[in-house]
Amino acid sequence: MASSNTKGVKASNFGASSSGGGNRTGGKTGPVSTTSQPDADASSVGINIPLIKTKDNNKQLPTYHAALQRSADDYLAAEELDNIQLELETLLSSVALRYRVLKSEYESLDKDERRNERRTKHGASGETQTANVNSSSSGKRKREETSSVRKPKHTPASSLKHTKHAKNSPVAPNTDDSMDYVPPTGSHGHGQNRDHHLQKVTLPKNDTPNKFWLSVEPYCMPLTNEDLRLLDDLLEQYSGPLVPPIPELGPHYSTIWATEDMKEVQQASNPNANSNRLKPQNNAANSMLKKAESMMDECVTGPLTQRLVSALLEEQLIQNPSELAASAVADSSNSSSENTHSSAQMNFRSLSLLRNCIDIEKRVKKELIEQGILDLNDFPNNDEDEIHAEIKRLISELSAIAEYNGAALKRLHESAAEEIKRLEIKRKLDTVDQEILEAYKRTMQNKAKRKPLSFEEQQEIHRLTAEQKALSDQLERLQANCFLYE
Amino acid sequence: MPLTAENAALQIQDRLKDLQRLIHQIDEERRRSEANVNSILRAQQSNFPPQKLKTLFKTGLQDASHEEATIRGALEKIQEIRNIRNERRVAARNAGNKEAIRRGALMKMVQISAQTLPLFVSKPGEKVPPLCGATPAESNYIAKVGDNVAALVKGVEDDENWILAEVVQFLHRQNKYDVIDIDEEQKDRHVLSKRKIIPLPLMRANPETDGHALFPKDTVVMALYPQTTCFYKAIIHRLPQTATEDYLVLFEDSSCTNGYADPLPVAQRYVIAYKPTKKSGGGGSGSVSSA
Repeated sequence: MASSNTKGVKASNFGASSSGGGNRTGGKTGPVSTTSQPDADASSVGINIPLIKTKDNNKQLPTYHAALQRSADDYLAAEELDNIQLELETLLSSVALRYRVLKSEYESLDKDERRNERRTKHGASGETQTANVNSSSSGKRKREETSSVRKPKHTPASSLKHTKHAKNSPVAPNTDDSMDYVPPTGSHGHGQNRDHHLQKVTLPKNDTPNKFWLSVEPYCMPLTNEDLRLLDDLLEQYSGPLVPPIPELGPHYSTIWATEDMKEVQQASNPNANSNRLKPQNNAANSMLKKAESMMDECVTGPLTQRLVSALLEEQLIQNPSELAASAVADSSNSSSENTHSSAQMNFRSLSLLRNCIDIEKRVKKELIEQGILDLNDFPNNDEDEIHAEIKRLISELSAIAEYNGAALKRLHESAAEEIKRLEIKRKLDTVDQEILEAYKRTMQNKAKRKPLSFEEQQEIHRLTAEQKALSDQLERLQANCFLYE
Repeated sequence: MPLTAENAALQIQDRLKDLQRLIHQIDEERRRSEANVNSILRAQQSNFPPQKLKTLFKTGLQDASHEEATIRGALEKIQEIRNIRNERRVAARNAGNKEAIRRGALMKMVQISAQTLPLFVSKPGEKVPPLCGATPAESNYIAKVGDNVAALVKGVEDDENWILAEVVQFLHRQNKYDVIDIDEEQKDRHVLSKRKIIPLPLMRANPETDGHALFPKDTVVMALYPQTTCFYKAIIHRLPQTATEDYLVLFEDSSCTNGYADPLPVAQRYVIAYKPTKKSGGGGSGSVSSA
């Protein structure tokens, strides 16, 4: 009895794993079969309780065996330390595995017990004694035993090893803790568990295909009027003038652009600033710009206006004799420009005034040209600055893209309209198909009852088939058109 | 307390005696376990009522945990002996007694120290500790004096190599290690910053119970090239199947057609996570040591 049940742990394992594969999680047989040293030989069938037999001490654990020959009061030979360590580690691994197997057996037994008692009886009756003559254990796992090719009791270790490696490839290729050794769940000797385990095996459902199709769904859905409407909206956006006309020189560039630039810089400097924090920053930007306004005034008034104003002021200065005497021309122009500066600061604070300024500049220009004082050719073309050129370039690029997009949208819209028509026909066709099917079923039922078809029914069928034919023709034509179009 | 030679010998003797006693105890427990396992198997065969089976399993479980505890105790004693010996060795070295070891003996020692690295067998639900198998050390870990490490040292031609070295001391103030080449022929000591030191595993992972603590197949690692004391870049080809087996690794070798040499066995102790260096070329397989 004792001789048989622990011999060839590996051999029995094979039997179990080759046939009972469905019962256990794959790969988990590996650890069990390697429990005993590579040259372990034991032969318990049924439950695989890893155990290195004391009888095999001298074979598997020579140093340990030798140590046992001496009295317990003796000293262990120091030179045996390395070997005894390896052997003790083997024993430790074996006992650790045994603990795990027994625990899982115990737990599954516990579960079964709670599950039901009835099937226990059933499992017992189904038991057949097909075990080895010398196998003292098991016999319950009839399926595994009958189907397994039993290894001879004393298979040479080498061949066993060979098969073993072929069989349980990597013990633990994964790094996650799920690979922690879990004893083969199906290995306990209770037939009644088998169904349960089979169910368990089929349980983990592969949800990936569903997920995939769900993700693809929006792209394959039949078109709806909703989609058409979306296209319409987009088309409308493209129909109007794409970009506002290039604004005139003036506040658009000096104030709005400046504000935008400021905002941009601020946002770039704190990319994770939330909306709450953004607001005060914008205010800050505005206040900053306001501070800068005074400096901008000068630029906004424009050269012509400045010249004119200074000319006017100079006249006043000339009227003042003391001033005239004191200052040279350069000096006077200097002071006058200072004057204009300060007056401009006072006058041109607000935006509306600024706008007036531009008007002044324009009006002055116009007046000067009309009076023949200045020639149009004297002015460098203001529109020809680099920013303007860049804007123009971008606008031309944008309009090219917009044109292309508009065309694509139009094309899409047309095909979508076609498609919707096609879908409509298809839907009709489907309902007709359905009706025909029903009619067919009815006819078959009537046939079974040997009831002849009534005239109306015949008419109905004719009508349906004709309709089907017409619809499918229509569909085909449409499709042909589609292809032509493409 | 300085460990004198006599003191050490005495302590070792003590433990050897304990071991002998423990081995007998283990055998006793194994016999009892075996008897119980047999009765479990018998009970299953004769279709005992589950209630009785459960009791038997419970006994089996108790046996197993007792046996496990005793074996762990014995292994601990062995480890203690090793620690005492190591301490003695370090003390002797500090005293200036250099043991001259031939190259062959050195390689043998390297091999044996890998084989006798303690085996980690987890208790159910226990986590794998750092420096066991593939599990790296914690970032603030400091290798102990006498521990083996991989050390990135500069060679003669300014090329850097990971060599097998032993910690002489950790210089706390500089946050640097003082290590010596395990190869006694290289007389020089190296003072290296922490990031040029990788502590070697202090325990082997047991493939049978803790396979997840091993490097998975195809991991890029650094492994000690057999018969050398140098670590080179390699790929895990096959994992050990038992506690005593080695990894099979493919060393990078530019002279081979596919860039990798044939699989070679390397013990768990000498396989560590790959750490790229400035010149991370590790293709010098076949070169011997860091010379």
